[in-house]
Amino acid sequence: MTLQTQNVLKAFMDEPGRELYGLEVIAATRLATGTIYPILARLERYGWIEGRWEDPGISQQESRPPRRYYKITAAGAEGSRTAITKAYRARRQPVPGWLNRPTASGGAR
Amino acid sequence: MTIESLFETLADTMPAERLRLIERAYTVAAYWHRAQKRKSGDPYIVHPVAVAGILAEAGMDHEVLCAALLHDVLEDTDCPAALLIHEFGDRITDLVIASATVDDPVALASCTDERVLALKSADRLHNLRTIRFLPPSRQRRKSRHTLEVLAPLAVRLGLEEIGAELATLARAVLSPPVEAGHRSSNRTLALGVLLLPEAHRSRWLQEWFGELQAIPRRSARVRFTVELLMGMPRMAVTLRGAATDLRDLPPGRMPRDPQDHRD
Repeated sequence: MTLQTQNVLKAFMDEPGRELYGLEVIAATRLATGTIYPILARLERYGWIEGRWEDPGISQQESRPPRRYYKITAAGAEGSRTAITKAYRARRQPVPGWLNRPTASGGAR
Repeated sequence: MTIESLFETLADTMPAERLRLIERAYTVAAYWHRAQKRKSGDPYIVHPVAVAGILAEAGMDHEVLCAALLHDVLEDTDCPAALLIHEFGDRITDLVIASATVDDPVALASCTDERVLALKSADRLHNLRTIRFLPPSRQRRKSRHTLEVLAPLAVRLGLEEIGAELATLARAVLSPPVEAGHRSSNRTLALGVLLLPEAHRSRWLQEWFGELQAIPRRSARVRFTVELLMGMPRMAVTLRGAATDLRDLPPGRMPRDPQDHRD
Protein backbone atom coordinates (compact mmCIF):
# COMPACT_ATOMS: atom_id res chain seq x y z
CA MET A 1 0.00 0.00 0.00
CA THR A 2 1.47 3.35 -0.96
CA LEU A 3 2.20 6.06 1.56
CA GLN A 4 -0.29 8.22 -0.29
CA THR A 5 -3.10 5.72 0.22
CA GLN A 6 -2.09 5.46 3.88
CA ASN A 7 -2.34 9.22 4.22
CA VAL A 8 -5.81 9.21 2.74
CA LEU A 9 -6.89 6.47 5.15
CA LYS A 10 -5.37 8.41 8.03
CA ALA A 11 -7.51 11.41 7.08
CA PHE A 12 -10.63 9.24 7.45
CA MET A 13 -9.57 7.47 10.62
CA ASP A 14 -8.32 10.51 12.50
CA GLU A 15 -11.74 11.33 13.87
CA PRO A 16 -14.48 8.84 14.59
CA GLY A 17 -17.27 8.76 11.98
CA ARG A 18 -15.66 11.57 10.03
CA GLU A 19 -17.25 12.39 6.65
CA LEU A 20 -15.08 14.21 4.18
CA TYR A 21 -15.53 15.95 0.89
CA GLY A 22 -12.80 15.49 -1.72
CA LEU A 23 -11.48 18.99 -0.97
CA GLU A 24 -11.14 18.10 2.70
CA VAL A 25 -9.14 14.99 1.86
CA ILE A 26 -6.86 17.15 -0.28
CA ALA A 27 -6.44 19.64 2.57
CA ALA A 28 -5.75 16.93 5.14
CA THR A 29 -3.26 14.98 3.06
CA ARG A 30 -1.77 17.85 1.03
CA LEU A 31 -1.79 15.55 -1.95
CA ALA A 32 -2.70 16.70 -5.46
CA THR A 33 -6.23 16.47 -6.75
CA GLY A 34 -5.23 14.03 -9.47
CA THR A 35 -3.65 11.80 -6.82
CA ILE A 36 -6.46 11.52 -4.33
CA TYR A 37 -9.35 10.83 -6.67
CA PRO A 38 -7.97 7.56 -8.07
CA ILE A 39 -7.33 6.53 -4.45
CA LEU A 40 -10.88 7.43 -3.43
CA ALA A 41 -12.27 5.57 -6.45
CA ARG A 42 -10.30 2.46 -5.54
CA LEU A 43 -11.13 2.58 -1.84
CA GLU A 44 -14.79 2.99 -2.69
CA ARG A 45 -14.68 0.06 -5.08
CA TYR A 46 -13.18 -2.15 -2.38
CA GLY A 47 -15.84 -1.04 0.08
CA TRP A 48 -13.29 0.52 2.43
CA ILE A 49 -14.96 3.90 2.17
CA GLU A 50 -18.54 4.66 1.30
CA GLY A 51 -19.70 7.77 -0.45
CA ARG A 52 -22.98 9.62 -0.42
CA TRP A 53 -24.25 12.66 -2.20
CA GLU A 54 -25.23 15.66 -0.18
CA ASP A 55 -28.99 16.01 0.37
CA PRO A 56 -30.33 17.38 -2.94
CA GLY A 57 -32.74 19.60 -1.00
CA ILE A 58 -29.85 21.56 0.49
CA SER A 59 -27.84 21.95 -2.68
CA GLN A 60 -30.94 22.91 -4.59
CA GLN A 61 -31.80 25.58 -2.08
CA GLU A 62 -28.35 27.03 -2.45
CA SER A 63 -28.44 26.67 -6.25
CA ARG A 64 -25.30 24.66 -6.54
CA PRO A 65 -24.46 21.10 -7.51
CA PRO A 66 -24.53 18.53 -4.67
CA ARG A 67 -21.17 17.54 -3.22
CA ARG A 68 -20.06 14.05 -2.33
CA TYR A 69 -19.00 12.95 1.15
CA TYR A 70 -16.99 9.86 2.00
CA LYS A 71 -16.44 8.01 5.23
CA ILE A 72 -14.58 4.91 6.25
CA THR A 73 -16.54 1.66 6.61
CA ALA A 74 -16.08 -1.07 9.22
CA ALA A 75 -14.30 -3.18 6.63
CA GLY A 76 -12.11 -0.25 5.73
CA ALA A 77 -11.15 0.52 9.32
CA GLU A 78 -10.25 -3.09 9.96
CA GLY A 79 -8.47 -3.52 6.65
CA SER A 80 -6.48 -0.33 7.11
CA ARG A 81 -5.37 -1.29 10.58
CA THR A 82 -4.19 -4.68 9.43
CA ALA A 83 -2.44 -3.45 6.33
CA ILE A 84 -0.79 -0.44 7.89
CA THR A 85 0.25 -2.29 11.06
CA LYS A 86 1.89 -4.88 8.83
CA ALA A 87 3.71 -2.18 6.90
CA TYR A 88 5.02 -0.46 10.01
CA ARG A 89 6.05 -3.72 11.65
CA ALA A 90 7.89 -4.77 8.51
CA ARG A 91 9.91 -1.60 8.74
CA ARG A 92 10.41 -2.15 12.50
CA GLN A 93 8.72 1.13 13.32
CA PRO A 94 6.20 1.76 16.08
CA VAL A 95 2.63 1.74 14.87
CA PRO A 96 1.25 5.32 14.72
CA GLY A 97 -1.29 6.37 17.33
CA TRP A 98 -4.01 7.44 14.90
CA LEU A 99 -4.35 3.89 13.64
CA ASN A 100 -6.02 2.59 16.75
CA ARG A 101 -8.41 5.40 17.46
CA PRO A 102 -11.93 4.01 17.68
CA THR A 103 -14.06 4.75 14.65
CA ALA A 104 -17.86 4.97 14.76
CA SER A 105 -18.00 2.47 12.00
CA GLY A 106 -20.42 -0.19 13.20
CA GLY A 107 -23.40 -1.09 11.05
CA ALA A 108 -22.29 0.27 7.73
CA ARG A 109 -25.28 1.12 5.58
CA MET B 1 -29.60 -3.97 -1.19
CA THR B 2 -28.01 -7.23 -2.23
CA ILE B 3 -29.94 -10.46 -2.66
CA GLU B 4 -28.39 -11.80 0.54
CA SER B 5 -29.48 -8.82 2.60
CA LEU B 6 -32.95 -9.07 1.05
CA PHE B 7 -33.28 -12.65 2.29
CA GLU B 8 -31.90 -11.66 5.67
CA THR B 9 -34.57 -8.98 5.93
CA LEU B 10 -37.31 -11.43 5.00
CA ALA B 11 -36.12 -14.42 7.02
CA ASP B 12 -37.91 -13.32 10.18
CA THR B 13 -41.29 -12.59 8.70
CA MET B 14 -41.69 -14.70 5.59
CA PRO B 15 -42.83 -18.34 5.83
CA ALA B 16 -40.29 -20.81 4.41
CA GLU B 17 -42.20 -21.90 1.31
CA ARG B 18 -42.79 -18.28 0.29
CA LEU B 19 -39.12 -17.51 0.78
CA ARG B 20 -38.34 -20.46 -1.45
CA LEU B 21 -40.61 -19.04 -4.14
CA ILE B 22 -38.82 -15.70 -3.93
CA GLU B 23 -35.49 -17.48 -4.19
CA ARG B 24 -36.79 -19.29 -7.25
CA ALA B 25 -37.87 -15.98 -8.78
CA TYR B 26 -34.36 -14.62 -8.21
CA THR B 27 -32.79 -17.69 -9.84
CA VAL B 28 -35.07 -17.47 -12.87
CA ALA B 29 -34.53 -13.72 -13.26
CA ALA B 30 -30.76 -14.01 -12.84
CA TYR B 31 -30.72 -16.70 -15.50
CA TRP B 32 -32.69 -14.77 -18.11
CA HIS B 33 -30.84 -11.50 -17.47
CA ARG B 34 -27.44 -13.16 -17.32
CA ALA B 35 -26.08 -11.54 -20.49
CA GLN B 36 -27.41 -8.05 -19.82
CA LYS B 37 -25.90 -5.05 -18.16
CA ARG B 38 -27.24 -1.80 -16.76
CA LYS B 39 -26.02 1.49 -18.17
CA SER B 40 -23.85 1.77 -15.08
CA GLY B 41 -21.99 -1.37 -16.16
CA ASP B 42 -23.42 -3.48 -13.36
CA PRO B 43 -24.99 -6.87 -14.16
CA TYR B 44 -28.67 -6.24 -14.95
CA ILE B 45 -29.95 -8.39 -12.09
CA VAL B 46 -28.81 -5.68 -9.68
CA HIS B 47 -31.88 -3.66 -10.70
CA PRO B 48 -34.71 -6.21 -10.04
CA VAL B 49 -33.02 -7.07 -6.73
CA ALA B 50 -32.93 -3.41 -5.75
CA VAL B 51 -36.60 -2.97 -6.70
CA ALA B 52 -37.52 -6.03 -4.63
CA GLY B 53 -35.50 -4.57 -1.75
CA ILE B 54 -37.40 -1.29 -1.86
CA LEU B 55 -40.72 -3.15 -1.83
CA ALA B 56 -39.61 -5.51 0.95
CA GLU B 57 -38.78 -2.49 3.09
CA ALA B 58 -42.26 -1.18 2.35
CA GLY B 59 -43.74 -4.43 3.64
CA MET B 60 -45.11 -5.80 0.36
CA ASP B 61 -46.24 -9.43 0.09
CA HIS B 62 -44.27 -12.30 -1.43
CA GLU B 63 -46.15 -12.19 -4.75
CA VAL B 64 -45.16 -8.56 -5.26
CA LEU B 65 -41.56 -9.42 -4.37
CA CYS B 66 -41.50 -12.27 -6.89
CA ALA B 67 -43.00 -9.99 -9.53
CA ALA B 68 -40.39 -7.35 -8.67
CA LEU B 69 -37.56 -9.80 -9.30
CA LEU B 70 -39.17 -10.93 -12.55
CA HIS B 71 -40.54 -7.56 -13.70
CA ASP B 72 -38.27 -7.20 -16.74
CA VAL B 73 -37.87 -10.81 -17.87
CA LEU B 74 -40.81 -10.81 -20.23
CA GLU B 75 -40.08 -7.45 -21.73
CA ASP B 76 -36.31 -7.59 -22.02
CA THR B 77 -35.50 -11.28 -22.44
CA ASP B 78 -36.76 -14.30 -24.37
CA CYS B 79 -38.37 -15.82 -21.31
CA PRO B 80 -41.81 -17.11 -22.34
CA ALA B 81 -44.85 -16.11 -20.29
CA ALA B 82 -45.84 -19.79 -20.19
CA LEU B 83 -42.74 -20.54 -18.11
CA LEU B 84 -43.66 -17.90 -15.54
CA ILE B 85 -47.21 -19.20 -15.32
CA HIS B 86 -45.92 -22.72 -14.84
CA GLU B 87 -43.46 -21.81 -12.08
CA PHE B 88 -45.20 -18.93 -10.34
CA GLY B 89 -48.87 -19.08 -11.27
CA ASP B 90 -51.29 -16.61 -12.80
CA ARG B 91 -51.31 -13.94 -10.10
CA ILE B 92 -47.58 -13.31 -10.11
CA THR B 93 -47.39 -13.53 -13.92
CA ASP B 94 -50.24 -11.02 -14.24
CA LEU B 95 -48.34 -8.63 -11.99
CA VAL B 96 -45.26 -8.98 -14.17
CA ILE B 97 -47.24 -8.38 -17.37
CA ALA B 98 -49.10 -5.43 -15.87
CA SER B 99 -45.94 -3.71 -14.68
CA ALA B 100 -44.58 -3.95 -18.22
CA THR B 101 -47.70 -2.70 -19.98
CA VAL B 102 -49.13 -0.07 -17.65
CA ASP B 103 -46.92 2.76 -18.75
CA ASP B 104 -48.54 5.93 -20.03
CA PRO B 105 -50.24 8.41 -17.71
CA VAL B 106 -53.72 7.36 -18.80
CA ALA B 107 -53.11 3.69 -18.05
CA LEU B 108 -51.51 4.58 -14.72
CA ALA B 109 -54.39 6.83 -13.75
CA SER B 110 -56.96 4.17 -14.52
CA CYS B 111 -55.02 1.29 -12.98
CA THR B 112 -56.66 0.22 -9.76
CA ASP B 113 -54.28 -2.54 -8.75
CA GLU B 114 -52.25 -0.99 -5.95
CA ARG B 115 -49.64 -3.69 -6.18
CA VAL B 116 -48.88 -2.82 -9.83
CA LEU B 117 -48.58 0.84 -8.90
CA ALA B 118 -46.25 -0.01 -6.02
CA LEU B 119 -44.11 -2.04 -8.42
CA LYS B 120 -43.86 0.85 -10.86
CA SER B 121 -43.02 3.32 -8.10
CA ALA B 122 -40.21 1.14 -6.78
CA ASP B 123 -38.94 0.54 -10.31
CA ARG B 124 -38.84 4.26 -10.98
CA LEU B 125 -37.22 4.93 -7.61
CA HIS B 126 -34.27 2.69 -8.30
CA ASN B 127 -33.94 4.08 -11.81
CA LEU B 128 -33.89 7.61 -10.43
CA ARG B 129 -31.29 6.67 -7.85
CA THR B 130 -29.05 5.55 -10.71
CA ILE B 131 -30.22 8.02 -13.35
CA ARG B 132 -26.88 9.73 -13.76
CA PHE B 133 -25.86 7.07 -16.32
CA LEU B 134 -28.56 8.18 -18.75
CA PRO B 135 -28.23 11.05 -21.24
CA PRO B 136 -29.49 14.35 -19.72
CA SER B 137 -32.54 14.64 -22.00
CA ARG B 138 -33.85 11.24 -20.89
CA GLN B 139 -33.07 12.08 -17.28
CA ARG B 140 -35.23 15.18 -17.53
CA ARG B 141 -38.09 13.40 -19.28
CA LYS B 142 -38.24 10.66 -16.63
CA SER B 143 -37.98 13.19 -13.83
CA ARG B 144 -40.83 15.29 -15.18
CA HIS B 145 -43.03 12.19 -15.50
CA THR B 146 -42.09 11.23 -11.97
CA LEU B 147 -43.04 14.60 -10.49
CA GLU B 148 -46.27 14.80 -12.43
CA VAL B 149 -47.54 11.25 -12.11
CA LEU B 150 -45.61 8.71 -10.08
CA ALA B 151 -44.61 10.61 -6.96
CA PRO B 152 -48.15 11.81 -6.15
CA LEU B 153 -49.43 8.34 -6.95
CA ALA B 154 -47.02 6.72 -4.53
CA VAL B 155 -48.03 9.12 -1.79
CA ARG B 156 -51.72 8.42 -2.42
CA LEU B 157 -50.99 4.71 -2.13
CA GLY B 158 -49.59 5.29 1.31
CA LEU B 159 -45.98 4.77 0.18
CA GLU B 160 -44.95 8.10 1.59
CA GLU B 161 -41.24 7.55 1.89
CA ILE B 162 -41.01 6.22 -1.65
CA GLY B 163 -43.08 9.14 -2.93
CA ALA B 164 -40.95 11.67 -1.07
CA GLU B 165 -37.70 10.24 -2.35
CA LEU B 166 -39.07 10.08 -5.90
CA ALA B 167 -39.96 13.77 -5.73
CA THR B 168 -36.61 14.79 -4.24
CA LEU B 169 -34.57 12.90 -6.80
CA ALA B 170 -36.69 14.16 -9.69
CA ARG B 171 -36.40 17.75 -8.51
CA ALA B 172 -32.66 17.43 -8.14
CA VAL B 173 -32.42 16.46 -11.81
CA LEU B 174 -34.71 19.25 -12.97
CA SER B 175 -33.26 22.01 -10.81
CA PRO B 176 -31.38 24.81 -12.60
CA PRO B 177 -28.59 23.22 -14.61
CA VAL B 178 -25.06 23.41 -13.26
CA GLU B 179 -23.37 26.53 -14.56
CA ALA B 180 -21.25 24.50 -16.89
CA GLY B 181 -21.18 27.40 -19.31
CA HIS B 182 -19.45 30.46 -18.07
CA ARG B 183 -16.57 29.14 -15.99
CA SER B 184 -13.63 27.99 -18.01
CA SER B 185 -12.56 25.55 -15.31
CA ASN B 186 -15.83 23.71 -15.71
CA ARG B 187 -15.54 23.64 -19.49
CA THR B 188 -11.99 22.37 -19.38
CA LEU B 189 -12.94 19.65 -16.95
CA ALA B 190 -15.86 18.61 -19.11
CA LEU B 191 -13.40 18.02 -21.93
CA GLY B 192 -10.82 16.27 -19.75
CA VAL B 193 -13.40 13.85 -18.49
CA LEU B 194 -13.71 12.42 -21.99
CA LEU B 195 -10.61 10.38 -21.15
CA LEU B 196 -12.61 8.38 -18.64
CA PRO B 197 -14.72 5.33 -19.49
CA GLU B 198 -18.11 6.59 -20.62
CA ALA B 199 -20.14 5.04 -17.85
CA HIS B 200 -18.18 6.94 -15.21
CA ARG B 201 -17.95 10.38 -16.78
CA SER B 202 -21.11 11.98 -15.57
CA ARG B 203 -20.75 10.78 -12.00
CA TRP B 204 -17.22 12.13 -11.55
CA LEU B 205 -17.94 15.33 -13.45
CA GLN B 206 -20.84 15.97 -11.09
CA GLU B 207 -18.62 15.43 -8.08
CA TRP B 208 -15.85 17.68 -9.42
CA PHE B 209 -18.28 20.45 -10.35
CA GLY B 210 -19.60 20.22 -6.82
CA GLU B 211 -16.12 20.63 -5.35
CA LEU B 212 -15.18 23.40 -7.80
CA GLN B 213 -18.19 25.42 -6.73
CA ALA B 214 -16.91 25.29 -3.17
CA ILE B 215 -13.55 26.88 -4.05
CA PRO B 216 -13.79 30.64 -3.70
CA ARG B 217 -10.56 31.77 -5.34
CA ARG B 218 -10.05 31.49 -9.08
CA SER B 219 -6.36 30.58 -8.73
CA ALA B 220 -7.25 27.67 -6.48
CA ARG B 221 -9.94 26.54 -8.93
CA VAL B 222 -7.42 26.62 -11.73
CA ARG B 223 -4.98 24.53 -9.70
CA PHE B 224 -7.71 22.03 -8.83
CA THR B 225 -8.60 21.66 -12.50
CA VAL B 226 -5.03 21.45 -13.76
CA GLU B 227 -4.07 18.81 -11.20
CA LEU B 228 -7.18 16.84 -12.02
CA LEU B 229 -6.40 16.94 -15.72
CA MET B 230 -2.85 15.78 -15.11
CA GLY B 231 -4.21 12.90 -13.08
CA MET B 232 -6.94 12.02 -15.57
CA PRO B 233 -5.03 9.25 -17.38
CA ARG B 234 -4.35 7.61 -14.03
CA MET B 235 -7.98 8.00 -13.07
CA ALA B 236 -8.98 6.34 -16.33
CA VAL B 237 -6.72 3.35 -15.60
CA THR B 238 -8.10 3.06 -12.08
CA LEU B 239 -11.70 3.13 -13.27
CA ARG B 240 -11.04 0.53 -15.92
CA GLY B 241 -9.69 -1.68 -13.19
CA ALA B 242 -6.99 -2.85 -15.52
CA ALA B 243 -3.24 -2.86 -14.93
CA THR B 244 -3.67 -2.23 -11.22
CA ASP B 245 -0.47 -1.33 -9.52
CA LEU B 246 0.07 -4.12 -7.02
CA ARG B 247 1.81 -1.78 -4.61
CA ASP B 248 -1.43 0.14 -4.31
CA LEU B 249 -3.65 -2.83 -3.64
CA PRO B 250 -4.72 -3.29 -0.04
CA PRO B 251 -3.02 -6.53 1.09
CA GLY B 252 -6.39 -8.25 1.17
CA ARG B 253 -6.29 -8.38 -2.59
CA MET B 254 -2.86 -9.86 -3.01
CA PRO B 255 -1.97 -13.53 -3.10
CA ARG B 256 -1.61 -14.31 0.54
CA ASP B 257 0.35 -16.72 2.65
CA PRO B 258 -1.56 -19.68 4.15
CA GLN B 259 -1.07 -18.28 7.68
CA ASP B 260 -3.25 -15.32 6.94
CA HIS B 261 -6.71 -16.21 8.23
CA ARG B 262 -8.61 -13.24 6.97
CA ASP B 263 -11.30 -13.89 4.37
